[in-house]
Amino acid sequence: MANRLDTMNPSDTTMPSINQGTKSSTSARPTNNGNVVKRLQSELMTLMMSPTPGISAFPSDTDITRWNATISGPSGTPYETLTFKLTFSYPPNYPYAPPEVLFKTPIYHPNVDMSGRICLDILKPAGQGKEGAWSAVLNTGSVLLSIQSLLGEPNNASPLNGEAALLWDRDLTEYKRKVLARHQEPSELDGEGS
Amino acid sequence: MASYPQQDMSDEQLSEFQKLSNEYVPEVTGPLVGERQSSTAIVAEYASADPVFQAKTEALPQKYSHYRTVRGDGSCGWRAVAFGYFEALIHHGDPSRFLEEETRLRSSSNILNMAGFDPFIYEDFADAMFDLLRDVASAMQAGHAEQTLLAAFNDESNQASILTYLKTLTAAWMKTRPQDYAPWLLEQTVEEYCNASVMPTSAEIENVGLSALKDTFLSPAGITLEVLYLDRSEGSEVNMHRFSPVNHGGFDVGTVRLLYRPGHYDLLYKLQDLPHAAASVSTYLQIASQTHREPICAIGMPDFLTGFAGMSYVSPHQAWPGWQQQLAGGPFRPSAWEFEPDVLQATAQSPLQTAMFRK
Repeated sequence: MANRLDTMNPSDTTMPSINQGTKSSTSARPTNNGNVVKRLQSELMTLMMSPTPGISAFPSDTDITRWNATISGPSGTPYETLTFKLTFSYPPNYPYAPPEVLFKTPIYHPNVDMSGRICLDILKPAGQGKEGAWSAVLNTGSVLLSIQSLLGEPNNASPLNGEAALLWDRDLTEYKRKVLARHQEPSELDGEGS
Repeated sequence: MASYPQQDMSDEQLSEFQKLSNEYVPEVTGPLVGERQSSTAIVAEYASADPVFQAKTEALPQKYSHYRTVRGDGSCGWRAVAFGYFEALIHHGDPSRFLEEETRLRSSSNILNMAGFDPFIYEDFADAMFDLLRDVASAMQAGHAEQTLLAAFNDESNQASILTYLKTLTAAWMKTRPQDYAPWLLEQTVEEYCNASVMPTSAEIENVGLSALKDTFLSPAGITLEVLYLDRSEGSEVNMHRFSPVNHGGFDVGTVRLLYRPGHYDLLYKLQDLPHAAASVSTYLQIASQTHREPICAIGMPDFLTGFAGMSYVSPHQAWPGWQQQLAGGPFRPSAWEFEPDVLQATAQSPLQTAMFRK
């Protein structure tokens, strides 16, 4: 556990502060930050008691509403054997709004842009017709599993990276070459970040 | 999406747009659940609308004397049913019913587990529901159940928990008996429907979901669901759809009436749905347009009131709390001969309700 924490910490410095969001929204409507903390503690407990192979998540040192996570690329996909780091930041009205999830490891994928933002229906808040599919019963673990399966099953109908969507359909060898060219293992990343 | 000049934008810009549009929330005003008010307000609202709406809304107050607004934030249908459920239980008048409901809902954890929902996730939402059932039951004994209920539903996070619980319950119910609901879904499995149209935080209730919510939540509690459609279809009255009641030992606790205007749900009430104190307020509101002799109030209170010196329609708010107690307490209980013949039938039920309330 200590080991994993150590490898995650350096990326903290690059993350935006969640506290600004908390402040601005308290004036607009009553928020229940206590509920967010309680829910996140319970999620953490579950993740630690029954860990799922291939995914992990842990709060940052300073703020329980910001987590660092990893997923391993599913076997049988171009992402096989690779490990990806992500960050979660939970809004004050979590779990009634989705966490903001970013890839910290650069990834070549039709539904992820250059800054690591992910286009996935469950990460969008509801209220835009059928688009937003976030539900309050989803959680850090289920989001990570969804992202993991997105790696092997991209949604090429609405790509953020059009080239990747085309290559996925036409030339998987070239696709895999691009995946490996962009990828950085967590250890390399840490060297850069600090 | 196709109309966007995609090639001119970088990934960065595109996703910035995406983010902005994701964060767009339609402007909504008003409380999450409003105070009960006279439905003549709806008539006023549509006074300048087209003739169909005018005719329908003008006819509305005759059958449905009151309504309550529910905030149109995309969850109004779920919220209206949830609030109406509690109100029906309060109106039914038996605090022990709340405990029965808690027991019943706790036992449906099996369904949630069977449908694959994780107890550690849904427990918090279920607890919010059980807590409110208890709070309202004890508030009922203290005589302020409605205020407690209104406050709970205007607490953003509390009501969100309760709505999430109801969504989970509905989805679990549908997933564990897909054969009952699959025929109503077009090109969607029950699983897909639940993920797309039931579980998302602000997925507004749709007909199939509403039907399932009624089956698992309202019917076993002995509560009937009616939806009044106010739309541009032919006719001079709102169309009423009563969801086929499921017989659970034949007991009837009450009715939740939803007023549906395309895209939005509010709550509607008949006079018989109102607590007695509120019924007197309706008398006050309607007295200007009706003659004294008309039995405008189903429980016949106007005639009763005039029998006492010092009581007047003008100050029902001050007059009522005292009278209600005396009514319940007994010495001034109106006897049948004080009422006009045609209200007798309606009155026949009130002693029963009062008796249960006192238990």
